[in-house]
Amino acid sequence: MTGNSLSLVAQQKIEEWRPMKALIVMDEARCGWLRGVIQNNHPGMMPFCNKPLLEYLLDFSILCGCEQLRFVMDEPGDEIEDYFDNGSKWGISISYASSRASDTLEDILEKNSTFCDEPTLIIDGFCFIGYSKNEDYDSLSDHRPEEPQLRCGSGQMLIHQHGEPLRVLHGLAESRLEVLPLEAIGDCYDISMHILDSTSGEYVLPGYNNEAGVFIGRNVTISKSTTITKPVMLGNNVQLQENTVIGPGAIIGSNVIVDTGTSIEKSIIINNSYVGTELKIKKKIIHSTVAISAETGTSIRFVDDHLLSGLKQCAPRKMPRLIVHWVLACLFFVSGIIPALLFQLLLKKRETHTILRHNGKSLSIASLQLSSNSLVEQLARIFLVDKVMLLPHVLSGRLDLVGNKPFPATPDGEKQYADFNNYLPGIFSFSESQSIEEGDFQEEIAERYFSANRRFWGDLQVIIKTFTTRW
Amino acid sequence: MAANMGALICQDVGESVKDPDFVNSLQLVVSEACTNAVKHGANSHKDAEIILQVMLDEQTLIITVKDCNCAFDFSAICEPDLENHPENGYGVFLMRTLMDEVKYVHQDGWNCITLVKHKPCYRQE
Amino acid sequence: MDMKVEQSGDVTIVAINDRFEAATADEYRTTMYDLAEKGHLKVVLDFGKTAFIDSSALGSLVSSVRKFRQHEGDIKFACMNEQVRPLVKIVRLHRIFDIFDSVDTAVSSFS
Repeated sequence: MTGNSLSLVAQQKIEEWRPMKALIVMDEARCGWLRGVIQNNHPGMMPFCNKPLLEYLLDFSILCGCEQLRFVMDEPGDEIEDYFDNGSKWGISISYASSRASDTLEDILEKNSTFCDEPTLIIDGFCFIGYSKNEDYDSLSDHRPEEPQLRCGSGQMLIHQHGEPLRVLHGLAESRLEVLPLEAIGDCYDISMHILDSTSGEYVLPGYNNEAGVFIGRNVTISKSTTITKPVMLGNNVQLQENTVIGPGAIIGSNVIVDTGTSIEKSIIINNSYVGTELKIKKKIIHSTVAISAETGTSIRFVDDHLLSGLKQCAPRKMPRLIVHWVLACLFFVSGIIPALLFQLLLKKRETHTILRHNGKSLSIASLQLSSNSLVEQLARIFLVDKVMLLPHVLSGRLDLVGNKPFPATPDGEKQYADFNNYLPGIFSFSESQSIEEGDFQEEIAERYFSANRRFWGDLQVIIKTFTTRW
Repeated sequence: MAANMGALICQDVGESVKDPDFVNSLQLVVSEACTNAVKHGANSHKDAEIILQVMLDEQTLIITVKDCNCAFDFSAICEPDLENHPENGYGVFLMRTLMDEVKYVHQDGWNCITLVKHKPCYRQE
Repeated sequence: MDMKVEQSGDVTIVAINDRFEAATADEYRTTMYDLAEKGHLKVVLDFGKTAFIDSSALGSLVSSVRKFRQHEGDIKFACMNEQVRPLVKIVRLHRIFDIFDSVDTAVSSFS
């Protein structure tokens, strides 16, 4: 054979072996520990520098040349399918399969035999793959017994080829490629911090990155008095209030509010968290009501009023505030009741709902639903007719004029009530005045922030903002 | 037949809502509600009526299934034990899982189940 | 309901090629009962062309697999399409059924 023919054959061999498919297997036995620490989504969606673990594995699979990918889990999560869908966003085809808890990897391969009919890269277990987007993994499947195997205590990387035994892959010489265990929260912390500090250039990370060590997401509000020291990463819809000190080593997820005077250093604030005022957060992972020490792994549930709390408290209703609300309600009622009654006659769209009051008791209210775009309904919205119709409840002392968006008197609403500190329902709500979409998780964050920061002038601003927003 | 009604309605809805998963789950919940109305409601009369109402606006789809029968305690219907898998009892659970709201009232001798689904929003990254 | 039953050795393949719902679940139960009576206790259900499935069908699946397993038999799923897979996931039937993406592998898994 000539040299050219040899290289052609070698080239062919490499292409034959190049995995076209990837199978990512994540079993509850190895990842379930994370659910006990951070009770939220599937462990595969655990963010590392604001990017889910599974997305790193997907990116790596694409780097290896895979065009089809399948996730196999024995405890599948809707959030995984919602996030990845059919893979079109990444130019790859993604499918999903379930396994039983007792299935071995061989059983899983058998159950996915149609999918695994071509060379298949398998990432099995709960582990992080350290790689670089700048490296070439074409020869990954070659035999290299002199290099260490790509496996760790909680996971491994293998190649499946029809007619060949399943084989654990070996690393590449002078490569960043490694398989890192995820067996404790400290592992997640260390990997995230390492990416932020040293290896952010090796991965595709979310956020605007015009300056090394700084990643900023969409819709981020930073107060003028905030100090930011890199490396730092901010997700989407983040609010940093006055005099906050962020970084070095701060990873803040999406939909997070960091309140006045708080400093965050070498810490991770996971999505959908509210961090209260004048706190010093160092070497912690914060998620909702819980702070986890990165060093010891112990969880601390904050009972401070200014952090999200799992404890239910019946909010005290201060008399001066009630009086002011009552007077304002009277003024609105007197000026708005006649036009409101006229609109109500035209619209005839009253519906009865039952909501929860501040003390947890149910209250039945008849409200106008103004959901369509007809001229009459638009005018009714502009003139706050739906609010005027609820004013009698404020005048009778059952509701506040300005407060939290009321929870429905349903089992879900009661759960939210139990979890919400200082709940005071009102007919004007903070999240509505901020034009936050109903049902968006940011709505809950905004409502909690408002509860912790109630001021008289703030209440007036809510009313004015609601009015101007509707205009 | 009850389930076929669901399929027909979903065909019409599907023309305006281009999300196959949404339409599939809609078909299922309508089928469940109608099947329950036929099986447990309608006073077991073969000729009894079941009323199916569909309202669709820009943001919300509301489906109401009514059958003429005695009231029952809807809130007492608990979730099936998905660790031990009973042989029935999945219908209401599926309705509650797939729809945004499921309401029950008993009015003028009719059991009314209202299923509410808000239109899916397509997020642009 | 359009149900095709065929034998592959000692394994019976039952293809459900239509809507599997309240009205048709009885037919499924009858078919499974007949198979059990004849001693055909190894069954693969092929969902490749199943158009629709509802809670009545789920209930029948659960009751049939219980009966088969009581008599040392089993029922396995194959080729779950996107009409069936999400529902099986919601009610967590994947925890009690073996699910294959190919009928042939499901059949050979019995041996």
